[in-house]
Amino acid sequence: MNSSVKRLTSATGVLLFVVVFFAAGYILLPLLSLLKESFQPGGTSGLLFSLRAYIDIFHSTFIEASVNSVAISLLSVLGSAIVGTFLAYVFHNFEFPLKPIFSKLVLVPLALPPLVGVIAFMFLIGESGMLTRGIAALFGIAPSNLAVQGWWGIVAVHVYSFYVYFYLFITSALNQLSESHGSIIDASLSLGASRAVTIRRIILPMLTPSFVGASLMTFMASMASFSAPFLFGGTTRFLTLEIYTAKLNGNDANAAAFAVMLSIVSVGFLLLLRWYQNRKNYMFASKGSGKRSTVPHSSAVRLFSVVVTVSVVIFFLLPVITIVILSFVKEGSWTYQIFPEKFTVQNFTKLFSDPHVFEPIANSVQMAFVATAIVVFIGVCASILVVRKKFIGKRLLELLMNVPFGIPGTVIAVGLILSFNHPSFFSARSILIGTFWILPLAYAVRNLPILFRSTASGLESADPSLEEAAMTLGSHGWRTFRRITLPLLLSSIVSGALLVFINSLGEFVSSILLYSYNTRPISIEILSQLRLYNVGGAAAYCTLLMILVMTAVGISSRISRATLLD
Amino acid sequence: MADLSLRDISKSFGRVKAVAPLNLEIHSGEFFSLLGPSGCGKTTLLRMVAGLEQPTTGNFFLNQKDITALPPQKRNIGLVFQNYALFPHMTVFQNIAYGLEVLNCAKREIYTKVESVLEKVRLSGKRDVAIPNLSGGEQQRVALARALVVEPQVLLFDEPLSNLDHALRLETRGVIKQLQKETGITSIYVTHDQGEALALSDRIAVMSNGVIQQVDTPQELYFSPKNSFVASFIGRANFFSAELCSSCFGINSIDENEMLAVLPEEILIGKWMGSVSKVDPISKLSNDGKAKGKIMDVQFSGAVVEYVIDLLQQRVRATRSSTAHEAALSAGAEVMISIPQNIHRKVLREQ
Repeated sequence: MNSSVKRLTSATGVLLFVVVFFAAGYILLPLLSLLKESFQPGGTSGLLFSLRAYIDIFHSTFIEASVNSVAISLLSVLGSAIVGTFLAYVFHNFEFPLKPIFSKLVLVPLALPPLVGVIAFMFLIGESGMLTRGIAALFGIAPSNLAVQGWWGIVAVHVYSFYVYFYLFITSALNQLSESHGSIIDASLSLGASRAVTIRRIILPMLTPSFVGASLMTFMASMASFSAPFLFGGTTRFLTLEIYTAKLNGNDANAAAFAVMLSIVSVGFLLLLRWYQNRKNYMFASKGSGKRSTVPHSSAVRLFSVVVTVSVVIFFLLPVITIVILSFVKEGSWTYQIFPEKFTVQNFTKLFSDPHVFEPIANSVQMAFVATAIVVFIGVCASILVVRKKFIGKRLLELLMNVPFGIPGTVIAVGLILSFNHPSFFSARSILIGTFWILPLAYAVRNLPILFRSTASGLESADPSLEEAAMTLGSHGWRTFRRITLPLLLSSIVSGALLVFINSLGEFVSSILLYSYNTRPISIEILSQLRLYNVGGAAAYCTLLMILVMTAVGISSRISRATLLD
Repeated sequence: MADLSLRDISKSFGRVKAVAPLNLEIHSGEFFSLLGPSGCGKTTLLRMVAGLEQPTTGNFFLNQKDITALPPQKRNIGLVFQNYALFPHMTVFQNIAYGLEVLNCAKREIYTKVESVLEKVRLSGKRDVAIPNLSGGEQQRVALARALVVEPQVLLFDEPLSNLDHALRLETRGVIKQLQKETGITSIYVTHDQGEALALSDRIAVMSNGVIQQVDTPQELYFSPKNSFVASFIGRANFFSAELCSSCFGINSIDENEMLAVLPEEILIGKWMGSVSKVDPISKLSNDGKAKGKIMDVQFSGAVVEYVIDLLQQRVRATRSSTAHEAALSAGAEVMISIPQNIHRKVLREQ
């Protein structure tokens, strides 16, 4: 028995209780509820357990929906890989005018919450899209022939939202490759290898881990995607939509069976991702020389690449511009015209003057605050436990903290409904469904992995001997935490918390299953404004969300830059 | 002033024995070193003294009081870390003041104590500098000041100089030695550098594979090692078997199970004069033709020159002061080798 562990029992015990309570009640229990519900025998058969729901979905739409979900995910991975890798390579290797500005703009899609991105695409390249109508009018074609919708609409939105995984993964790999291993490329060239050989034999193999990582992330995100199929999919069946439809039709068992099947795929991919990342890593941390070595290219290739890149980046801006334009459109004024013609600022003034319009904003802000507070508290406690303490079941706890990352929001929402539509120990014997609290709880569960990971990796890179030094100077647990550990972790906590906050502000996927009229968040109100053909009102909410997201991203990058400079 | 005794201390990590059961008495005011190659258990032992690891068996007594169950916070034992472990978000002053704040000292007292310790470590001007803006040597001295300022009963050093360059290492070594003398604080110093240990310590424990090989003064360890590990680790001794001693050097007092340990600077070499019974005019070695070797390599390292010599398939290391005039000896030269008759340093032959 190691008594250095024994000694910390009281503090560790409290942490462990809090974290295990949360993990058991709000992560594990919903998943078990799903599993239980999916095996629920229907009717009066008297059985305790049945495969009825599974047989049912296999006979109806499961195969079709799975094939569609997998196919759309593969297309999304392919598209994102091409766009993301190309952009990363060009930005890494070529110098061109205004590059610093373009390298910021290339990240603009990050500022659009998923729902906002989908809506922007609808009004840009959908059947009533401005670009579609504009080009159609120019060439005298029917807009419906040009419109990007259905499958291609979904893929377009996915690539727009998910290319960033490839862009960021490949960029960081290329940076490490040339900064800490600059000599590798130089070495290959100096050994007489041609440019093509160097790319094929040296650069690509070194990039493989990032490539596989980004592919798995994109695949998982596409499988879990709800907003794009929901708004673009028409009558095509996808797994996330099938869960939603079954739940709305009151067929809980079928919804649960769909959710279980989708979770198996998602968690499988999550485990695959973790296994792969642990297995292969060429990137060693070493001090960069600051010198970049790159592979030389001919000027024709260079020119072509830069022109394509600049066009892509400008295209990235169009959805944002679309939303901003639409936010000034007068209610009910834009119907068949190519471009909206009547503008007003009323949509914005109403946001804060009309209590009915303001209510969703107030709801979302409150719920985002509550969710962020929960996530920070649980995430920090859990990361301390997992990184610094020793206890039985640590691996399991770590896995539970990561699981919501792999599980689609729709599944989490259904799981929470099934767990808290009746009095439960974990809801203090009250029914949470229909109350305010279920929404921030869902946001917290969905976003916990983000903060847990950023805090845990911050803690891992913080030298444990700093805490030991404080101990030998007589400093006890709480003081050491407050004066040493917490200040060192602050930047990872704050940037993680900001991300959680903005994700919660625009959250749509689980909200649509959990809201009630009085607790409707911004995303739900956007949807109902669209249904009322109030495009301007919906876009004003979207614009507000984008401004909030960009502010948070700005603060977050300030903080991380400030820490880097230390 | 405090004395520390270790009784039956051992440590296992799972099935790996890091430290075998050992006993040590460290006297009040003593500068005591734990010396050994990396992985020998010396740092584990030090961390157990600090309370950062718990021993698997045994007890620690500080001034006859059992402190084994005390957490690090209550031991009043300071530790200077290998990587300094300075708090990066605090200034020099805040780092040093931290331990005094923990003790609830008054602001004025903290200020004067920090100022005085900064003076001792020659960092008076650096009080408000941020840690990342200090050089490695300065960081090391802040770490020293931070550990010293709370006046611990025992001060522990975990390879404190290993991240410094050679010149800084010598300078900081001087600072440590002088401060230890001035304060009279009982100190335990962990290092793998035998020169450092010899120069600083009152006594040294040589460790290997979790076992203490010998505890002695630097002179005793160097000139009277108890076994071949100590002889080779401390003095880089050459070992000669009984057979070789008798056939080459005419020394017959070595048993079959023993070896003669000869330090490199004790080996006498002279130029091979071409025929038996000629005397080398420089080394004055007369040639009986028995111990004839060939120089394989010559390494000039400033104060001394080291010769690696092949003697009957055995590599022999011999060093000379550089000022001795031996220009004629270069790689490939044939030499005669001799051992003074007054060397009786015997160690057990290793199986």
